[in-house]
Amino acid sequence: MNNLVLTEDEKDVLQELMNIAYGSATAVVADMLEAFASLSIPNIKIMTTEELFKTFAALKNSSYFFSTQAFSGEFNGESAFFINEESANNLAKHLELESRDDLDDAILELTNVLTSSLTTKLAQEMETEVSFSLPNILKVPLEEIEDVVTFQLYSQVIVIDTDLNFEDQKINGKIFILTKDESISWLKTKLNTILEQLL
Amino acid sequence: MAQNEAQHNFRTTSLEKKIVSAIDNGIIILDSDLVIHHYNKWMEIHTHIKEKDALGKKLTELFDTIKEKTLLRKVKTALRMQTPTFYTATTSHYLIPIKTNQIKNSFFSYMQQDVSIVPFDAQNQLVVLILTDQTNMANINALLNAHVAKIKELNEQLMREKELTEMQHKQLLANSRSAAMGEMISMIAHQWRQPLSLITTLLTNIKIKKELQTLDEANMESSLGKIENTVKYLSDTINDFRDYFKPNKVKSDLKLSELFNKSIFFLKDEMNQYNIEYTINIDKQLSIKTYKNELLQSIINIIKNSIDAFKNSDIEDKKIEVSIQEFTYHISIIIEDNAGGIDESILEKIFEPYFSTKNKNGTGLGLYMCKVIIYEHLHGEISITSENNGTKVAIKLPKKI
Repeated sequence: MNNLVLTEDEKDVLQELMNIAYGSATAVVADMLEAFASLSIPNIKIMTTEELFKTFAALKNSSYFFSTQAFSGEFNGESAFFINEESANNLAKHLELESRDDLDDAILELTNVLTSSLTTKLAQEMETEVSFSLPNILKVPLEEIEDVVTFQLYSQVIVIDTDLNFEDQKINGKIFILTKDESISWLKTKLNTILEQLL
Repeated sequence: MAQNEAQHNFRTTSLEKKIVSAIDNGIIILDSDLVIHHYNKWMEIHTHIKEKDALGKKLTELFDTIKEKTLLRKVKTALRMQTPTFYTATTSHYLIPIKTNQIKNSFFSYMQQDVSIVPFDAQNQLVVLILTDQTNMANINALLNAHVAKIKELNEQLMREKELTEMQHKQLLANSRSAAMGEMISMIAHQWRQPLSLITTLLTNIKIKKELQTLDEANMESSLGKIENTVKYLSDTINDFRDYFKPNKVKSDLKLSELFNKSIFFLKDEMNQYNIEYTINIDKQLSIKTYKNELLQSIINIIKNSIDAFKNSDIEDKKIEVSIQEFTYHISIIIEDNAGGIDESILEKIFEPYFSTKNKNGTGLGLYMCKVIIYEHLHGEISITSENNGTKVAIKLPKKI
């Protein structure tokens, strides 16, 4: 279990890689939404599934949309994207959407953009490739999320917490990258290779 | 060499072309202006539009239901990021309107599609749209959702009914409490009749003697003593009743012989009145740990039922017999009478609330309450059988609860 915990150095490298990945994601999101957007520097944490549930619990206060997207390859897992209702409504207004289905579609698009820009860039830096499945909106009320047994597949989770900010509207989202142990140990190996190159 | 390569290229191209036409997906190649550059066999068959008629046209021209702005956004994003973007059947339902005529997919009249927009040629800004038929899946989902909604509805209905039943149950308990109170008053009345008439007699005697001027000190003393005793007896009776009809929350060790003596004490006047013989067969030392008053209330109720049954009969030797057997972990109380028995059709309903054979005198709650008390409070069992013109009530109780 211990060998799955990231060291400070490994964390630093990952944070650096994420920052690069996030930079490209910001540009794409801005492009997609045709507005000047900024993404706050992501806050990266590695936590256990139990801690993740606690984080979910903290989200329960407001109403959230929850979408997921699986990615596969040497580095594989699933991303979970949360966007609160207010932000979702702002997004809908901004994109001039007409129906609830259109909003779902826009949220999925945002999920896809964030997931793929993040993981693709991360994969690129680590010299591997990822492919993406279709994202989907999980219509599970947050209070029942602990009952979603598939979460038990993951023991550790890389959490990337960020704010998306727009000139006139505030759109706030949280993205979680969920990975299984084997991916985390693969990640550690890769991060160490990069570390050695730096030294 | 060059020829070989050309041949190889030709073969691969033709193989890929064959795959693209054979594949069970719709494949469209678009540029960033949504102009069609390829339209595969699957698309031709499903949309009844030939590739030659589609090439060079905008996709939104062929299908005016497509929202151009959204599609453009997705195409641009795919090209910009060089990763696929998507339409999903669950939220967007379909991109290309294709009518389905299938019995099994009754929920949808148009094919439900997952669409991946995959960057294909960065230089020429081309993307390939891959359509997958998800109608079956969507239909199963819709069916499932309909079932889930139905289950939810039924569940809510069940909860409402449960609430109602609980409320009725509470109401029943309240009713049975007032019924027990009524019974208690009538029993007290029975108990008091004799001592009250004794007091009246004594007082009358004193009055007469006073008028005849034969009242002496000793007379007076003795009469007052008797009156005092009788009044004390009346007061004791009240205390006893009040004690026993207060539901107690504490389990206590209970000598069963005492319990039955108590129930006899409450009922003996009535039994004497109707000439009912009462025999009791209990080991004097036998005791169990249980809720005393609840059990007493049940026992009185059962014996009272037997007494009531005798009231309307002309049976010669009226008998109520109680016997108790001891087992390792439980005891078994049998209360039998020879008051005529119970009809089989009635026996089935005897524990139902508001069921009574006593016309306007019965609340129909007595045996129902016995059952509730014995099963729920005392963790025991009760059954009633009837044969040979008699009724047999069997109560099984754990020695300790």
